[in-house]
Amino acid sequence: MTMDQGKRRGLFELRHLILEQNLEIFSPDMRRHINESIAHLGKSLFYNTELNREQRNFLEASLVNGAVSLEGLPGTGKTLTLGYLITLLAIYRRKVIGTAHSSGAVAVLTSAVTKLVKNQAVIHKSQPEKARVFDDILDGIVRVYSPNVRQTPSRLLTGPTFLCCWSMSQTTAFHVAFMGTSKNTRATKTSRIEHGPRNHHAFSRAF
Amino acid sequence: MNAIKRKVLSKALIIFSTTWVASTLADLEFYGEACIIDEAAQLSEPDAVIALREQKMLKLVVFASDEMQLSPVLKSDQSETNSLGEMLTTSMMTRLLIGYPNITKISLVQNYRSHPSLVRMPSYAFYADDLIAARSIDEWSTDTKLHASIRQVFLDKIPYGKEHLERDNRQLFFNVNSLPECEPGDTSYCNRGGIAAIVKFIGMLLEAGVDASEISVISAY
Repeated sequence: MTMDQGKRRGLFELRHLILEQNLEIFSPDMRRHINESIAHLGKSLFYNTELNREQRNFLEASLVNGAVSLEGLPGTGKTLTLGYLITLLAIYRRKVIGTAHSSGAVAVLTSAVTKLVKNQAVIHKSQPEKARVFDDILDGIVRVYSPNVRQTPSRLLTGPTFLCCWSMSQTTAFHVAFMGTSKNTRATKTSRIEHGPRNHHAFSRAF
Repeated sequence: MNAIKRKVLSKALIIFSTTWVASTLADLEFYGEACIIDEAAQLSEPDAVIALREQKMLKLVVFASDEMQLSPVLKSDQSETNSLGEMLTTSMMTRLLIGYPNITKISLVQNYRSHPSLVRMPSYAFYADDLIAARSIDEWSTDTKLHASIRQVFLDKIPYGKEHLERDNRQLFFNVNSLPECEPGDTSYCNRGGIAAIVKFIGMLLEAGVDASEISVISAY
C-alpha cells in the first residue's frame, strides 16, 4: 500500500505543525487559520507523559509514512496509542476512519477516543478557545452501525428502526431521535435534546 | 435514508465502524484522510481491502494488532481442504509483513495492565519472554489483611502448597476432572463438576471477606 509523493504532502505539513511548530511552510492564509495555540495543543498531546518512547515513536512514524504497522502484545496500550493518533489528527481537522473487524473492537476504540477527548477538554477547561477544539472534535465523532440489525445495540432496536448513525456527542444526539422510528428510541433520546440551548443551535446548524 | 446519512457524515470528523460498514462510506461521500484499523490480526485480506475501497483522500493507513491473538475465523466445512481456506484464514497483518516487509513497524512490549506475576505466564508461554511488566510489584497495592485471610481459607480447604499462596503470586490453576455433558455433535454445553468447583471457589472468596462486586466469572462459551 504505497502512497505517492503528492499524498504525503499532508502528512509532512502535519509533522511540521506538530513536531516542529513550523508555520513558515504554510501560506499566509493558512497560517492565519491555524491559530498558534492550536499548534501548541497538538504538541502538548504528542509529548504527553502518559506515552512511553515506543508509543511516541509510533506517532512520529505515522506522521511521516503512508502506512504503519503497530504490533503490540496484550495490555501494552495499542488502543490507547491509536486514540492519541486519532485525537492528534482530529485537532487539525483531518478526517479519520477508525475501523476494526468486529463491532466489539470498534466499541473499545470508540470509547478510548471519546474518553481521551473528554479528558483533554477537562484539562483545558480554563482556556475556552482550547477546550472548544476538543468540544468540536466530540461533536464530530460518529459511530456508524451496519443496517444489519443484529449488530446494533439492543436498546436502540425496539420497533422498526432504520438507525444507522449514532453520534457520541450530546449535540448530535438528535440525529438518533430523528432517524429512529421506535417509541423506545424516541423516549430515551428525545429527552436529552430538550435540555439546553446548545442542541437547538446544533440542530439549526446541521439542517 | 441515505440523504440523512450523508448529512450526518458531512458534519463528521471521526467515523467509527466495522470494516464492512466502512466500505459504504465512500458511497456516502465521506473521504477520510487517515484510516486506523484496530485488531488487524482478525482481518482477512478482503476485509481490509473493502475498508479502504474508493477512499481517494487517504494519506495514512495504520494497522494495529497482535498476531498471537485471535486470527480470522472462517465458517466453512471446506476450509480444511480448499486452498482458499488457507488464504482467508491468514490475517491481513501476516500477509502484509510477507508481501510488504518494508512497512514501518513499531512494536510495543511494555504491559501496563497486569501484575508482574500475571504477565510472566503468557510472556513465557506465547511471547518468548518478550512481554515486560511496565509496573513493578510495589506499584500494585496489596491489602495484607485481606490476603492473609484468603490464604488462610484456601490453605484450609484446598491442598495448595504454601509457596503458591504467597502475596506476590496472583494466579492459581485448578484442574477439574469431571466429564462434560455432550450434546450430539460433540459440543460441550455444560460441565456440572466445573460449575460446582466455581461455586465453591466463590464461597471461599466471600468467606475470606472479598467484596462480591470484585469477583467476576468468565467462560469461553
